[in-house]
Amino acid sequence: MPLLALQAALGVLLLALAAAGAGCALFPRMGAQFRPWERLAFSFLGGWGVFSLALYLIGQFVFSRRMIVLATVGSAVLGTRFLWRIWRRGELPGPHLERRAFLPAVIVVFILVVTAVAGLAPVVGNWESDTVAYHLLGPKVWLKAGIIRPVADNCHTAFPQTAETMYAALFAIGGPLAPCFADFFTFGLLLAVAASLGIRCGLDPSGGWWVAAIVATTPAIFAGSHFAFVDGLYAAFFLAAVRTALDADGLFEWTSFGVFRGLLIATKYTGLLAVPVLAVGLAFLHRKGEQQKWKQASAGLAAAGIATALVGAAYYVRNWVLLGCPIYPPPPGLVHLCHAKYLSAQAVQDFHRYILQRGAGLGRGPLAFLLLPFNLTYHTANFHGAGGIGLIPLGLAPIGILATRKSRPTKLLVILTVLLTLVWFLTQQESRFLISVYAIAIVFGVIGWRHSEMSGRRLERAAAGLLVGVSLLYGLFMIVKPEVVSIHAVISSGYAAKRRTQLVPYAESFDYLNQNPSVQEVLILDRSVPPFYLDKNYVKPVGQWGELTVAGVKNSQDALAAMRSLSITHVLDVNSTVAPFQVQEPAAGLQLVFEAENQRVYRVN
Amino acid sequence: MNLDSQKSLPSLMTRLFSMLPAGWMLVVLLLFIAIRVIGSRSFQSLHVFGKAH
Repeated sequence: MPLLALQAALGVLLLALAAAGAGCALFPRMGAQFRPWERLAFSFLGGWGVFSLALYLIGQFVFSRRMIVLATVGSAVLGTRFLWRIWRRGELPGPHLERRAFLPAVIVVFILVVTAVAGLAPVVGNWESDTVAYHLLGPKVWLKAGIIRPVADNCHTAFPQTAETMYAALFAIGGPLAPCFADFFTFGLLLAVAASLGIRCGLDPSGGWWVAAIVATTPAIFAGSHFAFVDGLYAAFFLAAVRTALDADGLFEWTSFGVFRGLLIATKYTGLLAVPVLAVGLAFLHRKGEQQKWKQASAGLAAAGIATALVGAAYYVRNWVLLGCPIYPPPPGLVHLCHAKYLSAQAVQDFHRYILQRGAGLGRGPLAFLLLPFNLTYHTANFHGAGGIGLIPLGLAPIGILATRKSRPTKLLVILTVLLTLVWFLTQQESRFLISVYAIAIVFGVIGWRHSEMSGRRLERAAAGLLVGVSLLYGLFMIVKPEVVSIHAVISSGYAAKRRTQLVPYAESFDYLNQNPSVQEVLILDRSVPPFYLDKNYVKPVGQWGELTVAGVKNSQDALAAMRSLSITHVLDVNSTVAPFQVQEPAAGLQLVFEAENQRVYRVN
Repeated sequence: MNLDSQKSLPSLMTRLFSMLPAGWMLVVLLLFIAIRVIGSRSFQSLHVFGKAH
């Protein structure tokens, strides 16, 4: 374990340096409104996305470990040179911290350390965990195949892959623990960008630290930012786009905005809805400008549009070419316009039904929309809220908005918040998809807190302090409690093994298949079996979402009949919640070589 | 005409208005405690608070 942890740390360090290399152009060109630490954070974040895009594009042709190492080391050399230069010029942010910022800084460091250490725990979970089902499955399969392609048995691996491409690079360089360990870095970037937005809205540096601390201790934000989830990174790109747009003046700044906006749609499909939201917000912001400025902004927005399209297009064009549809699985509007490979009309319909059902929240009527601030605070589980959003968005953000209602950033952020929430409300009400809005609400919450502190009214000051204290403690409790289990698994190999047996379905069969050298190609008959844990090549004819991956094979019996033509050496058959054992005893041409509870492995004779 | 009462009404309104933020925060806080306690002890089936993943 210590060696694996060291390898993971090295992998994250190299990838972070590579990100610095890819994003170093941002640092000197960002406007004077940005402090050095803000420029550095934006350079790392933009570089993380751009380097991922570069790997993704190369990976369409070759995705070998050698290529990944070469590209990473090359970019890391650039990054090291860039950091060395700004350090020599004295532009690297120093360790100085004002006294008022000490407590929030301690909270931020504490949460990041917890994220990093817990991220070193071996990955566990069943097919219901997105991490196991597709965030890490795709990268693992790409590395085995030496090329980036959607994994046919899980259509989610065709989602935009900015985060996943970096997970693959982390796997290749940092080993099996690196992807989840890297979360502390991307989560830290989200906190930095949120703090930067807070400062742009009028907070002082210690206020920025408080924004970071409260964002870090918001359970729903944490849930989407660790364990290889991509929602935190997505929110960081969104906030970076907003922050850049607020002060965009020249062509480079508008292009930077366009790149961050492009990274949104290159990270999650929901970015496709955030792009028009950003356009409406910016049009509103510039509506009363002078003609000359409006012209400048229009030219900038056009450049931004081109940058967005260039950054985001690759993922959609690839899907269109390989899978028959730019958005895969196709959304309701595209179902009749394109034929999605591997997916039957029924499978697509089932998928839509699942999304609607999962994202129903507490209804989709006007009253449910108006009650969202209340429901998201107190009824978080109805939105898969993973512990909720604390009390600051509801208790203090309205005060912050009222206090700064005439300022330009507030107007833009309020419009974006309302529109993003509306889009989320009408599509899928999954709490972690709204992290950008929570972060904005926290910015206003801290402004509201400051406003209350300066009001001179003792009761208001006390109530605000109490609210922040309770919310922080609650958030810390909700975050740290489940992470203790992961940290336990990091420090105790015995506990890690026990946890694996409990939480990895069919772990014994996977161990047998992975350790047996005669196993070459495994046939997985049950769609609930997570192939992430299998190190060997496999065929899963019926995928998690009903994907049919082999022509002419529609069920397990078809697959068993076709196993010789598929060069199958072993068959994994399980008794699951989805279906019973599929191989009928005595099985012709198959020999039972391993058996454990609810799981059987056969060798093909 | 009672001049004192004419003065006191706006002053009272201002005072009440100035207490709104504190009142709002306390309501948010008390509701949280109430729902958290009720949610965890009496109405667990409501699943007021969820767990990660």
